[in-house]
Amino acid sequence: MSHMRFGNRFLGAVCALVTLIGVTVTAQAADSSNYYEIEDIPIPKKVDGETGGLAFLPDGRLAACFHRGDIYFYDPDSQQWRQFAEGLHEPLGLVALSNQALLVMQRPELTRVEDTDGDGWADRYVTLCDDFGMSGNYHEFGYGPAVGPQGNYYISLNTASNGAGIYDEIRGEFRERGRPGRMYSCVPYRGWVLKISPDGRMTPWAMGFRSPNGIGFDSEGRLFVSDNQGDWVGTSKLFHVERGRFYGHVSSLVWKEGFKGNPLKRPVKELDAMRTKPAFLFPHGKFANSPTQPIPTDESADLGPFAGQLLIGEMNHPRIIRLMQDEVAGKVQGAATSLYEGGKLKRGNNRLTFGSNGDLWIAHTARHSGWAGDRGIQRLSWTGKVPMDLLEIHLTEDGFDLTFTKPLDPEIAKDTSHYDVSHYYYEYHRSYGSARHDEQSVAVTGIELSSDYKTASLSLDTLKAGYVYELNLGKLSAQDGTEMLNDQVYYTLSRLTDGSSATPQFAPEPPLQFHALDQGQAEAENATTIQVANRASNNSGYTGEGYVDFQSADQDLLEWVIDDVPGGHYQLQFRYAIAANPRPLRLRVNGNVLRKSFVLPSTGSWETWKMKSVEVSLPSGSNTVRLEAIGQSGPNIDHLRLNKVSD
Amino acid sequence: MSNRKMDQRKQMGAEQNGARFAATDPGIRGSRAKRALLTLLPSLLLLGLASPGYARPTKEIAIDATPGLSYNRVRFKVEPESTVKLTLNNTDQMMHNLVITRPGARLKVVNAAMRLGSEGPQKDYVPDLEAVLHATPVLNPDEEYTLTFTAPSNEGVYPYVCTFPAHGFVMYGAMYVSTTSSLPPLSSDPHVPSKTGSEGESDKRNVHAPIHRARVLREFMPNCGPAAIAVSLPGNENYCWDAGACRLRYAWQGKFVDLSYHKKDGPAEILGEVYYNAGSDFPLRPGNPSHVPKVEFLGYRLVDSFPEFHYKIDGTGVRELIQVRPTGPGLVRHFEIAGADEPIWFVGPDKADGVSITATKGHWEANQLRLSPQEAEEFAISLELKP
Repeated sequence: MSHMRFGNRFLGAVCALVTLIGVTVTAQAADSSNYYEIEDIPIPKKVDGETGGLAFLPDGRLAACFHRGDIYFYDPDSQQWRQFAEGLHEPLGLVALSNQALLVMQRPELTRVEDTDGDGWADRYVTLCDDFGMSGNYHEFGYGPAVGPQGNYYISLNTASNGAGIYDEIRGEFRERGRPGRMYSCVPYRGWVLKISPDGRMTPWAMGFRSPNGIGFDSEGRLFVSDNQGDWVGTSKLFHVERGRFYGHVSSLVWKEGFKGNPLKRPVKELDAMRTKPAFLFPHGKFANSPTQPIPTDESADLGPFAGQLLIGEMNHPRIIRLMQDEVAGKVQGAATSLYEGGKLKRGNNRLTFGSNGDLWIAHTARHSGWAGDRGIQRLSWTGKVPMDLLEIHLTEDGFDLTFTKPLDPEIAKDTSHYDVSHYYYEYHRSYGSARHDEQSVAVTGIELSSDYKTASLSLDTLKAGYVYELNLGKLSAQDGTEMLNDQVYYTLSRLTDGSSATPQFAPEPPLQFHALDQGQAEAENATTIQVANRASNNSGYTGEGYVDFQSADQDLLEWVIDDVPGGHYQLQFRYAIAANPRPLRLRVNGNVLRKSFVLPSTGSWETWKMKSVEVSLPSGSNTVRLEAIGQSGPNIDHLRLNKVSD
Repeated sequence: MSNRKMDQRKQMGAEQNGARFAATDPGIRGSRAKRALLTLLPSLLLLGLASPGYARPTKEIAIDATPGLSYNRVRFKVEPESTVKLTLNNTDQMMHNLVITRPGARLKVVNAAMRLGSEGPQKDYVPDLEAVLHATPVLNPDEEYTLTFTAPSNEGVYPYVCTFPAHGFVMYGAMYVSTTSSLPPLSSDPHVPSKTGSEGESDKRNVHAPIHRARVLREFMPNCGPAAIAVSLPGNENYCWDAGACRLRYAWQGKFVDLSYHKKDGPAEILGEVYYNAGSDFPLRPGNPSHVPKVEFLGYRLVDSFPEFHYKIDGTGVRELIQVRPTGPGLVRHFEIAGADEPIWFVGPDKADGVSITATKGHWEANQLRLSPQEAEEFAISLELKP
């Protein structure tokens, strides 16, 4: 039978209706647990089950490391645990080197942990690599190692969080210009992936990561690293990582050879042009909030028809994600859907590995400082039943080729109204996360079915690079009546088949402006961030070009980021005017609230300017002073002076 | 100018009933009206029901969403039908909201929020349930939002919870609506999360030292670089060794360390008294007492459970094994430095009150010990705690 193209929507809808009635009678419930079984593995009594790493030893025992520093071995035959090591600093990944030796990534280093005398207790801890910095900030986690095709190890290093400071005493070089920002990199290689040779030589490999908790190779030997929604990360993503490239989170650029200055000062457009786009985007809230470790369904996996793909865990939802790669004009991109969701699967799906019979072993975590997961270990095994699912997706010139695990019911599949397609994009910017922009449904203009009914070729009204294409395939079913198991599919369209990869047009945020204080004075009208408030100059008596006029009751924000401040005790002086009753503001210095309600008393008229002072200790380097409206708008602010009182 | 400002303030009369919102992300400003409405509707409904003419004072409550999926305040009490002004400030790095539910409806609301699926973000993860009384929008980090509402007229325990997917299992608290003054003791209050965040593992982070062997624990420690190693030895002896600087930092007697949950990733707390502080300088100096060598940490092995640290000073290998003094309180540091071609100096701290420092080999010059390359091959420094 040749390919058919059906244009008659009405006829299609009638057919679909008829068939749908049939389906309700014969359908198998679309429930992951019909296809995969989940078994809870009891965890050792003395640990709390925050599992950081999982790997099988050559002899079939399972090695697991726990956040609190212990490593245990589990014998699946006897179902007994035995402790192997203790005292590691938050180990978040491991690989087995032999039945007696592991390689473990802990906060300060990549360590070979070995039992040399055969008593079952590790007695040798060899530092393979600690050539990276630690500031003492709790958010500087270390992840990996992933083992590359040539036997090298790859680790990824988290940036620090401005939710906490750094230690007085750090390890490694300190760079002040890496200190500003929500997530920051003030010691070497925070926000980088590093390559480490088997003898411990370190090579900085790639940069631009915020919170890269997942690192792994696919079955083709390509390196993939995940990142989490936040500043510079509009929604969580997975990158195909290649040497020397920059993946978007800007703080790590401080450690790029030849990169000068503070990356936050660069125009966002310039940073956007530097970055390599992700292979997969995971829509936040809709699908995945914190994707974790990628793992290939290679020959060691037995999960049904999905060989040669990638799986990745998800922290916030009970979901194992399946990724369908599609190389388009040299760019690795593709679509995400679920392998398994709900049922007995827990949340906190942090680490994945395959057992000897092809089962997927899942390590859960819910780290004590706030990862929204669960604890423990589970095993997922395939029942042998093939689900009706999307197997592959390929971008075409005008749409997508969708290939399914089973032949489609052609009457349903040929009706364009049975495919819900929409698209949207995420902005690249400094702020936390991104809304979905230009979210619109996309008309399906045509469908062709392959002769075996396994592939549907969709033609779409528009195809735009830089967008996520969301497909809902829940109305489809197999010829044998099986409903779709997973209906949501998210295709990340970075590049079109003609090789073009335009970024959606949006007005980028202006870069942060930093002040070198002009004789200790920073004009409000030139502040780093002026939000909602207006620059104005119609009331006389101001210094500089004008002043800042607060507009709304509660949304205005005025912020100065001031570089190169010598540390010491300072008087902050604000020059302001307000005709009548005071309108207090909240004053923050370096993020901390210095005055909850900072009252600037009436000056009697809008043209009478007065000074109001407050004292504070400032660390040397970059400092942030911010005024926020708290319900009553605010006065007009002319400038800020910094007067040093003492060291 | 000023007139316009005044007008705007009047328009924001809603301030009385809610909506104070410090947006930092331009992307979310558009939904502010909807957020305000979401908040106002239930408040207005309840206001309508409240008996007129009887005004109770406004109760102001400030709650922070804090790291570790928690609210800093896990319960508060208000009188029935009183006006409550509740301000949620998100000080965490994740997004959070606060939803007040009918008594006993927390998990129902949390699970319904999870089931919102892709609709969740538009609805601020607040399900359309009668059990939802009041809700803030989802706040980004650093955002703040004030809910103003009239407390229910029926006394009871009204949960508040973050309905962002998965948070609500551990991130919640309780609004007591009551005319009595007493609340149950916090530790036994079933309406608040256990102190540990979940599953009641209260004292697990108080790391106890084994009696008969040494115990190694790599953790953030006070007064040390971030790559710290805490070690407990038999006899209530403990020390902190710095794997970044490759040197002993201090020793204490007593119990080991406390790593309680509420410390929130700060350094461990020492459960004992520090009696020896090794000062700020690296002690081993090859060739010249003023020459500070380049150090490289290589790891450690366990010798009868005691860690023996391996490191390099200017490329020369050093082994250091620290044991308990056999004849009384204090420590012995056993060093092995093989292949030195110059004398090795051990430079002690400027002062070590209460501790006498002696060596098995070499010659002291003030607080500097000179060891020939042969003497450096194996020597020990004893730190004796003076009685």
